Amino acid sequence: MDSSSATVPAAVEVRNLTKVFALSLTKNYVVAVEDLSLTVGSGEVYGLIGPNGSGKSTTMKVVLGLMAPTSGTTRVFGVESNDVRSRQQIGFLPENPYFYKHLTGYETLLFYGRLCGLRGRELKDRAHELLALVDLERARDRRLAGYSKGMLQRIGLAQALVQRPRLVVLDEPTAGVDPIGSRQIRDLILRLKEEGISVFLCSHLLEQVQEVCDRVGIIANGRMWREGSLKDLIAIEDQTEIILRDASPELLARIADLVKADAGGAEWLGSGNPRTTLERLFLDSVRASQADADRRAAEAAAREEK
Amino acid sequence: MKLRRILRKTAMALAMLVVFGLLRSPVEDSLTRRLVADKLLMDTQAANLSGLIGQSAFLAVLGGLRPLVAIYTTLHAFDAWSYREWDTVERDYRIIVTLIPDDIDSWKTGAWHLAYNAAASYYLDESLPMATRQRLTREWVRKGVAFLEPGLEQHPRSSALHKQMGDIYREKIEDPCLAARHYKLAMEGDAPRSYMRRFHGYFLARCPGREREAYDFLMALYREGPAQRLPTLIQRVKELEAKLEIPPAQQIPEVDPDIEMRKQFPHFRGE
Amino acid sequence: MPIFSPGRIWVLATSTLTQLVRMKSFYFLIVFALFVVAASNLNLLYTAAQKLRVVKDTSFGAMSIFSWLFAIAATAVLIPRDLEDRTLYTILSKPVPRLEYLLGKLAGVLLTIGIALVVMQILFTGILFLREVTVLAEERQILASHPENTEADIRTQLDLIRAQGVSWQLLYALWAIFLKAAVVAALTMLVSTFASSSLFTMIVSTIIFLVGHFHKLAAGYWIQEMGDSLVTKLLVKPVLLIIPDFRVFNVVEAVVSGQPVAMSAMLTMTGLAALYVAVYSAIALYLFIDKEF
Repeated sequence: MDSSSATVPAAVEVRNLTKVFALSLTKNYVVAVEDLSLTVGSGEVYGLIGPNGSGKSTTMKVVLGLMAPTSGTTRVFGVESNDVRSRQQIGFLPENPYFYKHLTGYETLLFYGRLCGLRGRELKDRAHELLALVDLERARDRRLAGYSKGMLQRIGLAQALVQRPRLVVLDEPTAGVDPIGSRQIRDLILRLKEEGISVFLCSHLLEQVQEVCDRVGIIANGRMWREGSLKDLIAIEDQTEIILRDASPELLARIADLVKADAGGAEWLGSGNPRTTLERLFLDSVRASQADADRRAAEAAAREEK
Repeated sequence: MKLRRILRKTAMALAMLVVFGLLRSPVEDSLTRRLVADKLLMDTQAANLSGLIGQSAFLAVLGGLRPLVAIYTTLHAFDAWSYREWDTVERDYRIIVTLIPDDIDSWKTGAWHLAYNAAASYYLDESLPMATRQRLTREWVRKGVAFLEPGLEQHPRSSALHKQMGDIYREKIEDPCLAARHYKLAMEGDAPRSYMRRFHGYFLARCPGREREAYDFLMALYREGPAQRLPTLIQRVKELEAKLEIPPAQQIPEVDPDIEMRKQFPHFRGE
Repeated sequence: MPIFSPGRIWVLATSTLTQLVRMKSFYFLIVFALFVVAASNLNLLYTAAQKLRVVKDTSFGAMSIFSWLFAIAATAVLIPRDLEDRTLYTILSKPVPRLEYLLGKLAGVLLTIGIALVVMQILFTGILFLREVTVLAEERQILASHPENTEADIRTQLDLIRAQGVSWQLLYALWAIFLKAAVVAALTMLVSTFASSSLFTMIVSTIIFLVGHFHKLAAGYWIQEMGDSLVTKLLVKPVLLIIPDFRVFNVVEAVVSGQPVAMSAMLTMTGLAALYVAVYSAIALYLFIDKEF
């Protein structure tokens, strides 16, 4: 199955995904995801960001085969998500994971390893290796019932990696984890990237996405609003940012004068303290999607009245 | 839509269950019939028709619980017995034998409680007038017989049950003919004991009109050897010899039964 | 990657066993042992044979109750709990087909019940054996003290008592109890694939279980009384077909009372139980396969 075709297939390929949930026996339904397409290239770290209820988790669940799409397709390394074999290449860490509380950390890794067909010495070595990777060697023989949230998140990441998957799917990997734990997880993601493992994560912690992701998609109300490499998304082609330290008002006035005098027609747009650009982009997208949703609702209401 | 699919799947699942039901029913019914015929399953139809157990019937049909209910009822009957609540004892034992009809001992114990304990308890109850005491005693002996009869129907080859019935006819009703009949069935049954044959002979000897038969039977036992030549046997043969006017040459020798017993059982001290 | 792997089912089954054991399920065994010891000391004007019988009756009664109660409760709790804890996500996002997940859980419950039943059987056989030895010795003494009892008489009587003692036939009863538990567990799993909560699963499964013991009987009366009416056709007969028939498994009681059961009857029963488990698992899978979490 490994790279059977000449061109390496994308780690994740979502094509025109739509997912509709029925609410009741009447025609009441909710469109969770609408005509969504995205691609996670092999070896790429992709961040799907969006507010709560935007369809991030639904998209992930479809990719993982936990849900069937209403229409559209999802593939993992070229294998359809509804084919159980696609999961051989996936390691998944759900949001706020709970594993069997009655198992110790070590037993947890053995359990998931066995599910993936690992056995014997190989599995034991792998489990120790992973415990070292996520820094849980000292807690290996404690039952998960006694693990902290950050430890659970790390053992979760370890179990996701047990069968050496080529793709790791992380749902809100740092939700509820303290800053130190959060940093540890970020470092782990960067290590995975170095090892050439594709990562598909979703989050609403923009700063973190910005730090680790090669590409991001912004999803709101079930639709993809912006997608692309982080650089491209944030960079605005016809604008240039100058960041100064300890600039006096006089200096700024002189620069403004220079701009005004420019023959090329340059324009002074504004000045102030820099903001997280992705955050700005994100908020803009959400606002736009909200406006769009309102407009569509109004249209629907108008149709109803007719 | 998703909901339509759920409805479709539910209908489909139910249809699968129905088809499975159609396929398995004949097998299950025939196996059940076979097990009931082999007395491996309770004939619930019959139990319920008897209308006896009411609420217990519901419990009774529950798998694995029947014997437990029977044990509980035995405890209950034991309690009732110690308070001489004979109606309760009777009802409890009817429930017990309905729950575990294969348990010979329950039939036996139930009949014994009614024909012996209850009857004797009324007979000894001095608060009642004599006529009532006698009537109640007879009534409870009859109840014992009535209780045991269905047990004999279900276990026609049970030596223990026929022996119990024979005992009641012998001791409580004093009907030697019927006693002899049940001892005969006991000795021909599934677990005969040697005394059952002698008992059959002893009471046949007392049954008017069957003296000759009894004589032949007892003489056959006598000829088997010293082990059968017990004092009562010799006594009965002697009585029959007199009744049937057996010529002296054919009569058995008169012996002191105690001496005979001592020969066989050195510790015997006499009756 | 094999599309169906008994190895993975075994991994899920043993993990379920560990889970149930660490939920302290086996504490029941202590209660069981005390119960059987108490029963073996019960003395209600019992004859020698009855003294042994009461040990068997209480033991197998307790084993039956434990096995079906456990089959319903454990099966009803396990899948919803996996879902609530999101453990199900992590399992199904591994290369584990949903059929294997269901069979693994079912096998785990049955493995637990099987182990518990074997332990109980060993415990109670030991107690029964000790009881048998004492009762036989007592009875021999009593019989021998009566001079009219011949050696043959004593042997007959003791054989009657031995018939209620330890015997290989008792394993048939154990097997019948296990088969019944397997059917109940499969049934509960089927219910839990469409149920909204564990409580719902437990209630529905228990009702079906109870009804399955007397619905044939009740329907017999109904049809006798009401004839082949519309209600009979539309309600009574479909219910008869949908709800399993648990009567045949009650053969336990006959085995316990010392009656010989034909091997062929046991085989038919085993076949029926296997069919129940297979069909219920298939329908459970049909409902579970595209269930969304």
